[in-house]
Amino acid sequence: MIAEIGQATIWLALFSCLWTIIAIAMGMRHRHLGAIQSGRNATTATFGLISTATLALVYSFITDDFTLLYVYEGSSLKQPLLYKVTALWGKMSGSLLFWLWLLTFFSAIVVWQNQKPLVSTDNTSLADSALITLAFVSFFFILLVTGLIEGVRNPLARFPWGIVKVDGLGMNPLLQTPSMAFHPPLLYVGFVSLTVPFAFAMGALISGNLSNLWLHLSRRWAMFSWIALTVGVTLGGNWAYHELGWGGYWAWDPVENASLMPWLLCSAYLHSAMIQEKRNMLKTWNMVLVSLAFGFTILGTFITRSGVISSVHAFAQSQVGGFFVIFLLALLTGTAILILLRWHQLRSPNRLESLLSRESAFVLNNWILVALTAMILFGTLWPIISEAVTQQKMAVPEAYFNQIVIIPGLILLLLTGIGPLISWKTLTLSNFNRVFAKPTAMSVIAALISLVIFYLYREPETSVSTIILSAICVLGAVFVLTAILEEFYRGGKLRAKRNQIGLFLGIIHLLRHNKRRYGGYLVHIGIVILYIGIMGSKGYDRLTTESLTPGQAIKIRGYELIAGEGFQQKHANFDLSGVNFTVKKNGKVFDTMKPARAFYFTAGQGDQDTIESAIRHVGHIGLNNLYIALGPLPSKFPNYTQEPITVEVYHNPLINLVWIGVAVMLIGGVIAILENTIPATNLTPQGLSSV
Amino acid sequence: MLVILLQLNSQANNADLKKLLKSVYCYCGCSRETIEVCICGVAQEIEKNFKKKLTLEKTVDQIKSEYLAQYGSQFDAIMKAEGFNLVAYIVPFVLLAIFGGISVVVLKKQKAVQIVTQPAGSTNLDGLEEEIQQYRQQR
Repeated sequence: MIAEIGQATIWLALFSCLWTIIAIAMGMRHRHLGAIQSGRNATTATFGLISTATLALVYSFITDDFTLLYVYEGSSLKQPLLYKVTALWGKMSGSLLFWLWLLTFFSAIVVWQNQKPLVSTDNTSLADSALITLAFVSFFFILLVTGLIEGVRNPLARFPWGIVKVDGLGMNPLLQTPSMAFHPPLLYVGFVSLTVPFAFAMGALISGNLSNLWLHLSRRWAMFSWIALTVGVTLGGNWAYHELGWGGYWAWDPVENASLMPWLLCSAYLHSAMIQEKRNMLKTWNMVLVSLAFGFTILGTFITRSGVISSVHAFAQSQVGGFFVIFLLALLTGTAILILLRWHQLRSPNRLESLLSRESAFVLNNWILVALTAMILFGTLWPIISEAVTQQKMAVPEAYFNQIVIIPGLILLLLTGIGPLISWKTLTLSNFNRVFAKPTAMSVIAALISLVIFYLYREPETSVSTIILSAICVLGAVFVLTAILEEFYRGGKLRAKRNQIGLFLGIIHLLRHNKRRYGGYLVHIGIVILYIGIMGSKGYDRLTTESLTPGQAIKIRGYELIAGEGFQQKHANFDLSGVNFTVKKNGKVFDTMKPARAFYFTAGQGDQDTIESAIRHVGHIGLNNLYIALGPLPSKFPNYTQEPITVEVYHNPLINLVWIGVAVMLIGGVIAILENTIPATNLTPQGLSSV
Repeated sequence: MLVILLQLNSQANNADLKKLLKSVYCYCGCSRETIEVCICGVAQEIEKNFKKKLTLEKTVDQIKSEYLAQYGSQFDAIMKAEGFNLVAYIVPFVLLAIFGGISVVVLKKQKAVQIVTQPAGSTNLDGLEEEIQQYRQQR
C-alpha cells in the first residue's frame, strides 16, 4: 500500500510540475498574479509529493519489504540500518529519485527565499522565471522515475504476479562503508544545487532582467554547490583508498571524472562571477559557464548511468542514454537561443584597463579550468571514439590522464598565487615589485634547494622527470603560500594596529570582516597543500608484494612487517578474517596492523568478500601512510602455514596532506559563504566596486 | 659460470615479469587494476601463468598479445602514442591552445570596449536599486 501511494505521488508530481511551468509562464505573459502564485504553490506541492514517494521507499527498505524489486536488489535482512537507508541511492532508479527529491527541495527553498507579496506583475521577480527552469529539469527527472523510459525502472515497482521474496540480495559490500554512506548524497547535493544558479541565469534571460541581480541571488547557491562537490569528490577518493585495496585514491575512472568536471567548471564560474560583480564584465561568458557547469552534471549522470563508456552497445540497448542526450540537446539549444536573443543586452559597459590586472588573471584561470575540463572529457570519451574508428575496445589508463593534466595543473597552481596578488583594473610597477618580489625569490630558492635534495636522495625507481616536476610543484607551492600568507600578515598587522590587538586577533578580525576574500585565500592555501600531497603520494609511492607464511617479513623503506597469527571475527552481516602484522622500524617494534578480508553473506549470490586494508600514519608528523592489503585467504585459514598469503604493502608519502588540503579548502569555503549580501552599489550597471 | 648465468636469467625474467604485470589489467572486474596491483585470486593465477610462459622463452610482447587476444583489447593498460592513439595525445593540447587563444581574444576585445556611461537617474539604475531595497526589507 505504501509503495502504491508513493507511485501515485510520483505521477501527481508530474502534473504539478507541468502546472508550475504553465501557470508561471501564462501568469507572466498575461499579467495574472493568481496564476503566478499558483505556480509557486505547485513547486512546493511537487516537493511534498516527491518527499512522500522518497519516504515510501525508505520505509520499504527499513521494513524489509522485499516485494519491491528495488528493495530486494539493494538490501537484506541482516543489513545494518544505516545501509538500509543509504540503499536508497544504491542503484540507478533510487538514486534518480533521490536526485529528484533534492531538486524539488531546493526549488521549494527558492520559493521560500524569494517570497514577496504579489501586488503587481511589475515586481515579479526573476526568481519566478527561475522556477520555470527548475520545473523543467524536475519534469525530466520525474519522467525517468515513473518507469516510462526503458532502462529505468520505477523504484517503487513490485515484483509481478505477487511474488514475495523472504530476503534480499543485499547491498554491494563495497558500498557498506561510512564514506560511501555520505559520498553519493553529498555529490548529489553538489550536482543538484548547481541547477539553481543555472535556473537564475535562465530566469534573467527569460525575464530580461540582466542586471547582476541573478548573480547576487544565486551566489551562495554556487558556493554551496562547490563546497558539497569538494566534499563529495574527496569522500569518493577516500572510499577508493580504504576499500579497493590498490593503495591509491584517484585513477581517472570515468565515474570519477564525471564528478570532477562539474567541480572544475563551478570553480571557474565562482571566479568569473567575481569579475561581473566587481567590474560588470564577462556577462555572456558567465551565462555560458554556469550553463556548462550545470550541463556537465547531467552529462556526468549520463556517462555513469548509460554505460556508454564501458560499452557503446550497452548504451544502444537502453533508451535511457538516448533520453539523456535529448534532454542535454534541448538544454543546449534552449540556452543558446536565449543567450543569442539577449546578446546585445549582455554586452559589457566596462573595458579592461590593463592586461596586468586581476580580471586578466581570472580570465586565464577560466582558460585553464575550462580547458582542463575539455581535456578530461576528451580522455573520458576516447574509448568510444576509438572503438567507433578502430572497432576495438580499449580503456584509457591512469598514466594518460596524469600526463595530459600536468602542464595545465602547474599553470593553475601558479595562477592560484598570482590572482590574489594582482589588483583589480591595473597593476602598477611599484605594486608589482612590492607584491611579487618576495614570493618569486623565495619560490625560486625553494625550488632549487628541493631539486638538489630530491636528486641526492632519490631512489633508483624515481625518474628524473618526477624530480623536475616535483621541484616545479615546490616552486608553485612556495610562491602561492608566500603570497597569500603575506596578504594575511599585512592585513592582520593593519587590523591589529588599528584595534590595538595582537596579530593573531588581527587576522581573525580580517577573516570576520572580509570573509569572502580571505576565505578564498584559505581555499587557495588548501589547494597548495593538496598539490603537495598529490606530488608525494603519486610521485613517490612504493609497492612491495610478497607471499608470506607466519613469521616471514616484508620490507619497505626502513619498515619491516612481520606476519603473525591469523584471526577471525563475526559481525552482523559479515565475517572478518585477517592477519596480525608486527611493524618494526629500525629494528624496534613500532605498532601492529591488522589487514583483513570481509566476507558478506548475501542470499542467492554466494559470499562476496571485500579487502579491508590496514592503514597506519607514519613519518615524523604522521603525514605518510603504511598500507597493507591481503590477497585471497587459503582454505584452511586462520592456518596459512602451508599456503602463503599474498601481501601488498604500500608506502605513500605525504598522502595525508591530500585530506588536510581538502579540509582547509572546506574551511575557507564555509568562511567565504558566510559573507553577507553584496552592497547595492556593486550591482549598478557600471559595476562600481566599493569592496 | 652456470650459477651466474642462471642468476642473470632470473633477473631478466623478474624484470620482464614486472613489465608484464604493469602492462595489462586484471579481467576479474576490479576497477581497472593492473595485475601488479590487483590482489584478487584471478590476478595471482595470471601472474603464475605469465611466469610459466616466461620460463618457456616467450617474449613479453608475445605473452601480452596472447592475453589481450583471449580477454579483449580493453585490458591493455598501456596506451602508446602511436597509430590512432596519437590523436588522443595531441588533441588535449590543441584544446588547451584553442582555449588559450579564445582567452587572449576575449581579453583583447574587453580592452577595446568603449565605456558606455549612463545618465544619472536612469530608469535601469533606479529600478534595480528599488528591487534590492525590497529584497532587503523582506529578508
